[in-house]
Amino acid sequence: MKLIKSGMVLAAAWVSQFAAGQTLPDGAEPVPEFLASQALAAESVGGDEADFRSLDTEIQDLKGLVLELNRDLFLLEEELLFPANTQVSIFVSMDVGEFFGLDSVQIQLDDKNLANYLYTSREIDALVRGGVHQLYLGNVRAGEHELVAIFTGTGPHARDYRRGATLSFEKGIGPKYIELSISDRQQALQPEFVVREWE
Amino acid sequence: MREGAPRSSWITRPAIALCLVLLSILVTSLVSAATQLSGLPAPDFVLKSLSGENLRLSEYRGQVVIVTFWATWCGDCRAQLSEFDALHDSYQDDDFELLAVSLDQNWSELKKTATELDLSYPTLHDADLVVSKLYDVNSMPVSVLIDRDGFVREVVEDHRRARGQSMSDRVGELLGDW
Amino acid sequence: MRPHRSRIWFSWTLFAVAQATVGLTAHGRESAEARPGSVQDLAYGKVLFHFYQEDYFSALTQLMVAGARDELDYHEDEAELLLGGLYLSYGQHQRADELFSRLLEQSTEPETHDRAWFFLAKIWYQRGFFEKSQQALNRINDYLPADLEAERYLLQGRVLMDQGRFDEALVQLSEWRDPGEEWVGYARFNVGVSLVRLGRVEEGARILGEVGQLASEGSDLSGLRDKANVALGYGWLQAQRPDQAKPSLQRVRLSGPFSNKALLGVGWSDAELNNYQSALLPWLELRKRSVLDPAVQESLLAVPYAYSQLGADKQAADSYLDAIETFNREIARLDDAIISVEQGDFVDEIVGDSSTDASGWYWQLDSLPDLIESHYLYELVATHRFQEGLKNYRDLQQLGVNLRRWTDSLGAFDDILDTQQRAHEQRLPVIERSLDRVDLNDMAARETAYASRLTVIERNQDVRALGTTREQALWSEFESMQPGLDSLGDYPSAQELRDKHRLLQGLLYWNLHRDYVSRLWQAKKDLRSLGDSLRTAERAYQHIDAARSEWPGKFASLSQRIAELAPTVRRLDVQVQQTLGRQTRYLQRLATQELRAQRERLSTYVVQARFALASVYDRTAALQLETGQ
Repeated sequence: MKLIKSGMVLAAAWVSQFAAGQTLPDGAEPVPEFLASQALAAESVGGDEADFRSLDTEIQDLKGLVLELNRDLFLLEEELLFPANTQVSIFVSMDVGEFFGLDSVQIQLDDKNLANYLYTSREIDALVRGGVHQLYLGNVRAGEHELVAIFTGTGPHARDYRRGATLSFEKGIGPKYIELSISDRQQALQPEFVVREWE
Repeated sequence: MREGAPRSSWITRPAIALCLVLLSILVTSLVSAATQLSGLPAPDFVLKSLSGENLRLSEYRGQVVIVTFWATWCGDCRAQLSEFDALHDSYQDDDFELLAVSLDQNWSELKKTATELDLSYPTLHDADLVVSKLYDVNSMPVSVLIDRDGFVREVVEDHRRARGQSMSDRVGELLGDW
Repeated sequence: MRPHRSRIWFSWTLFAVAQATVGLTAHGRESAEARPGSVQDLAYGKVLFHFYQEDYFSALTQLMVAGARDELDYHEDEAELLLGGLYLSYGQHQRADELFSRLLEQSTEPETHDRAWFFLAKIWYQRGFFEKSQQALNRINDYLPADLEAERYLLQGRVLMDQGRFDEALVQLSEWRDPGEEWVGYARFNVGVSLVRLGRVEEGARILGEVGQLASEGSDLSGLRDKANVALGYGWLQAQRPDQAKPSLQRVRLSGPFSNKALLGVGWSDAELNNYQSALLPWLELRKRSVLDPAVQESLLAVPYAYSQLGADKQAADSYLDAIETFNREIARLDDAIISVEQGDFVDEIVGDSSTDASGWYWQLDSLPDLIESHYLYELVATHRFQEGLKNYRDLQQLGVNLRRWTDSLGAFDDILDTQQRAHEQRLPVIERSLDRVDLNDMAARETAYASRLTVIERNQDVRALGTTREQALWSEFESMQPGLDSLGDYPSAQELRDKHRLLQGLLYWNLHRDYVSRLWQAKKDLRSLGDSLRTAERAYQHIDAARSEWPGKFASLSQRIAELAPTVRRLDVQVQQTLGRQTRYLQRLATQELRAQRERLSTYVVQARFALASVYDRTAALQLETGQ
């Protein structure tokens, strides 16, 4: 009888464990789902906890170190591959009142194809919320150049758009930034390229 | 209307043709012939001004010049001239000159009107209508914008009704353009 | 395995707070009007582009790069707040904590302040850092929106409970007024459980009873009801009140996730009341269900126990034998599972190929791979502990990928740098020769001279000076003739000659005079274009000169940076791999502990079953002896 009752004892042990989240005597840590209000598991004290924390802290630190390293390497790479005096960056941004389903942006520099980028709906979402996409980073000689940019997409009322812009620019000494903003500020519901450039 | 009467095409076709001809005449007369001069060197001329001086266009090379054609019997012209006064003032320190060429035959009328208008820039008298013929003027007012190199850049009719940039901006652009 | 509804919800709200910090800094349509575009906007935009796609590692990198380049100086505080939000999103809560501590106490919008601390508190809690969670909670003022406020109370209660401060939890939860129906249920559930835990079963029971009888729509509240009724039922059982336990347990849905435990509990209630016939009913039902469930496992023992209480020894013995067989089979399978975990790539399999994705901190595990261990580990994998561990694992993998990419690149950098150096060395003599040839000073002097000469000419209206060479030569000739003509005196033909001379010189003068205006204009234009060319030449000269003289320093600096960064990359890569190993072993340990625990339970059951079986045999044998053999 005593032995059978131990089965009952197990059930009872469950209960207090459910209610309090303590470990079973053998140190294992099964996690009963139903205590957790909103799926919180009772956390145990002891070895696992310390392990988790120390690992977690270490991982956070590692992340920090790798991020800093990443930053340094990024800077190094850009300076090495794209020195300021030849560097040209071309960005794409969106500034539209109603949703615009951008399909692609193509750019040519001095009649050479530089990029033909297809935008996913995720990327469009990022653009619409203020994100800026660095479409191109490269080297260009000093002097006059001609940039041709074309975007295609679907606007409100399922209208297809294909618009272009040409920009003649002078590459000076410092890095050149060119922003291609797809905007419908000039004319509502008619997206156009608005081109801005900086040295 | 008689029933069953066919629409006679032999009546309507010449009528249509006539309308088209009249329309084209009307249209061309709306467009100043002076506009043909755009992009060409401005024909040189010399005329006497009301102050007695003789003024020659080519002596203004290096400056931006507006030659504006008018007459005392053209009300729109007179209004425009007064507005040009302000334009002249605003660019008075720059390389800019305005020449008002009058097609009046009656010198005393001209003198009277000009005195009333009291313009700050010269009024020239094209008594023999030579210059207006040179510039193919057949409607007024009309203003010819000439750049520093002596080329006609634009011909503008009533500038108050003209679209696009204001005269002041046009002048400013031509001044900076060298 | 379906992800918990709450975790998705939590993830989105966390996302929202990171966005709230971003919202301060992102420039929407309205503000674009107010301020013209700038390079700083571009830098920000790049960060946002990654952030909105949940690629927090890249967003952070871009932000730090922009910071290093001073591209964000117009709004340093905003940039820092964005950094904090990104830290939070990327799982660097310690840094987020430090940053928020530093920044948020200054003048920040109160709502952002409270939101940031709230979400930090949640994350700390989720990762088991209860004290840190409590500290963060302490910083929250009164500016949370209503729904977050409700959740914050709940969180505070849980944090207290997990710190073992049940009385305080009780006080805090009881003081909570009118937070909304759904929250009421959860809060009261926690209160009830706390009370039971403190031994105040009657009070706890009353509250759990209320929760257990909530009239509700929707599966969430139904689930909560069932939970409460199960907790209540077992609480009564533990307090030796089976009469109370049974009605609670009977309220649990038969089709719900708690029905097995409820069935088991109902059986025990009847058993405690010595009503073994009734107890058999739920237990027999339970016995038919999946043996993975601990409740079902227990029923395998409970049924023969009931039989034996009812005197049905044959059925009891048969059932014990079946139970033993089943248990042993399960034990064997668990053993296999343990081996599989220890020797296999359990963690890798779970994570799958998603290390190539962006470091989505809100990535959810939506299915377990088809491995033997999967059956036993659903519940474990669902826990915060395990999920957080998996996230760390994924992040570590991604760090490793990132570092390996740089290792490859660094090799290339050295080559590129060498190539550039060689190119420079080749170009240098050519450059120096051409720089030497150009004498900018001379050109500038000549420009100045020309300009002043032109000024003088214009001032004096010197029509002669602008004549052509031929005209000037002609003029000089005329001039030189003058004295000769003068000296001719009054000879008759002399006058004629003088007249002719005057006439011709006069003609020349007329022409010079007539052409003066346009020539002057042309000369001015020429001077201007000369000036433009000179300016361009000067710029180019400076440019080339600068490039030439800067190169050695630049080369040295780049070389040095490559040299310094390379060992760092290697070192960190090693560290990441080591930590990855430890993280893997940690997760494996969690898994094997769980499996062993299950195995232990089953082993215990086997032992019990054997003893019980032996008793039954003994009794049967004794009976046979009695009835005579």
